[in-house]
Amino acid sequence: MNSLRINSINIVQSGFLNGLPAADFVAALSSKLIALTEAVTSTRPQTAFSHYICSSTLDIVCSGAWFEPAELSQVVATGTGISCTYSNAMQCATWGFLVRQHLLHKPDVKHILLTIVDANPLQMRFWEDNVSWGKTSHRITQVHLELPDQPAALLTDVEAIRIGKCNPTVMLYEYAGEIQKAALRHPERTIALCFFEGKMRKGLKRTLAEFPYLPDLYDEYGHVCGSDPWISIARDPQRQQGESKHYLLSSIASEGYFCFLNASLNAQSHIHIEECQVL
Amino acid sequence: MNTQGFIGSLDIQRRKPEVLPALLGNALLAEDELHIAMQLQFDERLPIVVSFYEYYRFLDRFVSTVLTHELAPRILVRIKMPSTIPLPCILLDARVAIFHDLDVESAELTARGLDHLCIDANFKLYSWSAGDNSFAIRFVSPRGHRLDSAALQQMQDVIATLPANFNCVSSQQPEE
Repeated sequence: MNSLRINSINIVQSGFLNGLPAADFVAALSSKLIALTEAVTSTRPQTAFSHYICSSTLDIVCSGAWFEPAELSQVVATGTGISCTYSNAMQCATWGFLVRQHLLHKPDVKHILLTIVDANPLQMRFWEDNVSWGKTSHRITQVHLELPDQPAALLTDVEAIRIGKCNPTVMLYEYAGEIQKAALRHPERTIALCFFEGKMRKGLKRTLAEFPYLPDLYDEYGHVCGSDPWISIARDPQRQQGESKHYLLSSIASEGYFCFLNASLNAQSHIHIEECQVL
Repeated sequence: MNTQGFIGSLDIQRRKPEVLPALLGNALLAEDELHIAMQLQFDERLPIVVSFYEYYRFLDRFVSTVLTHELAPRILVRIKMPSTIPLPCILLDARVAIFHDLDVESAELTARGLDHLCIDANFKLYSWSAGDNSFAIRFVSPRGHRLDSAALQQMQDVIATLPANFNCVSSQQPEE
């Protein structure tokens, strides 16, 4: 089965970054990312990794040069010894684009670290609650993915990793169609989606009804940007400890970018969620 | 390793009057405007020479030209979010990857012997954004491949649509 193996999902709070002065932000964030990364890499000595950091909420702070993502990547790379890059262009779906980029150009590196960083350092109201998708909360989610023995097979399977774009004005309508297409190819996989507020979720209900899918945790978390499907899997109430399970993960961004990924947990997968005050 | 391309910077004097679609009025962040502006150290004196719409239109044309004519097999593009309009669809092509900074990814491709084109523009696109309006477009060939003059001309023709001053550059480094 063409699928990436999820070796670990580690979800931690990012509230410690909120309100920090710019000078302290990179130091605080990089220290956390180095610690998270070392917790993974220390269990796999002599293993090559590629590390990608992405974000939805760290947009204005990057483009306004409040902090420099290149500096963050460099500090994390120096601290971990692993090449590290940053992207936020596809908003909540950026993680899927990064996985595709890796599969296309670096299949020789079998281990991917995806770190989805969302925080609200400038304490903007928009990134707490807005009219487009409602409440937002922020986490740092680090996922350790392992490529299968033949990663090229993932790229030839059109649904194993797929990205695209919906028209933002009819986004949910088109996205429902994309979910259906992806799910029909892999009806055995449990779907893990973004968290949508009730009205938006209602529009997808009919599409999802025919397939296994994980519960929407919006009421508990709000929208957590690119972390949503990973939190869903980490909180899967139907998965027994130590059980393998196959998922179809997806994120969609406000500009309509979407990604789908086939990924699986196995008996050895490690999951950690730092519980915190939720909405 | 061979590197060819163009470096330059936008120039407000080279702007031609042009009617632009009124797409910049739907800024979702309006209510945070004052709050943010007070915390960012943007350069108020640097002009906004091109809008998001113009920059994305340029990227659309440039990347389409490169991919259609197979001038480079893969492209790295620097994009700094947020944007007030969606990215051109051509940037979602599997041959294109988008990062905030290109150096690390370019080095990774170079180490694998993969030819690529870096579109590295540091444009100030809205009042809060940082950027010095400079750009560098570089074809990087770890194995010493060279773009022919026709390929360079095709790129130059698109770059010339920017209100910018630019030069052609080229360098060679011995293989390690």
